[in-house]
Amino acid sequence: MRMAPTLQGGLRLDIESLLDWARLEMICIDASKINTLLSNTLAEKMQIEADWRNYVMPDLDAMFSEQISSIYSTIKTARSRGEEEAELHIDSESADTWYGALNQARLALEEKYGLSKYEAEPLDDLANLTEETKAALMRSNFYAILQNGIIEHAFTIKS
Amino acid sequence: MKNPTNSNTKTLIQESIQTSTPWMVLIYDDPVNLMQYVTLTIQRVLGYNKEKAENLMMNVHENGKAIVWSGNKEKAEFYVQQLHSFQLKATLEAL
Repeated sequence: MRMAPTLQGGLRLDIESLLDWARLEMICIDASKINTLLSNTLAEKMQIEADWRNYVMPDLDAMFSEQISSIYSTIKTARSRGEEEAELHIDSESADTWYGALNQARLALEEKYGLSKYEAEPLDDLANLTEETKAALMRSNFYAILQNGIIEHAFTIKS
Repeated sequence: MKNPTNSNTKTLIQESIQTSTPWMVLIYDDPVNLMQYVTLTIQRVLGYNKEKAENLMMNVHENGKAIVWSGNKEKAEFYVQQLHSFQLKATLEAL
C-alpha cells in the first residue's frame, strides 16, 4: 500500500494487493472489539451526572459507532470497484471519521494487549512476544502511521 | 391637584453581584492519542493558537493532566463534550 498527499488536501491510499484490503478491513474489526463503551472510558475521571449519562454518552457512542460503520462501507465500496488495484481517498470531510475509527482500533488493541509498554523497546526485545501480540503491535503502528498522514494532510482547523 | 414631583416616595436601588462557582476543564494523558492530535484538538475545541495548545499538550504529557480552561459550568460541559467527541479523556471540576 502506498500513501500520498493529494493536491486537494487529503490523502490517497493506493491499494495494491488483497493483503492491503485485509489491513484496511482490520481497522473496523479491531475498532469494534472495544470492551468498555468509549464514552465511559473518556469520562472515567468524571463524576457523571444523570443528564450526562442519559443524553451525552449515548450520543457519543452512536457517533463512535457511526465512524466505524462509515469507513467499513467506504472500504467495501472501494473494494467493489477493483480488488487488486484501487484508490481510496481520505479528504478533509472524512478525516475526522477515519481518524476516529483508527483511534478506536488502537484503543481496542491497547486495551487487549497493553501495547504502549513496548513503544520504547528495541526490536530485539520484541522477539519474545507472541505472534498474536506482534501482529497487534504491527497493526497498531500501521494505524498510527495512517493517523499521522491524516493529521499532516487532511485535517483543517475549524473552530 | 397633587404635584407628582412633590412625592414622599423614595426609590431604593440595590445592586448585587452574584458570583457562580468557576469550573475547570482538564485533559488527561492517555497512551493512545498522538501528541500532534492533542494539540490540534485543543486548538479546534478551545480556539487557542498553536503555541498555547502545544504548551498545554506538553503539560498533559509530562504531568498526566492539565487545566485547559476555566469558567462557567455550562461552557465547561460543552467543552468536555467536544473533547470527548474527539476521544480525549477530559473532565470538569469545580475550582
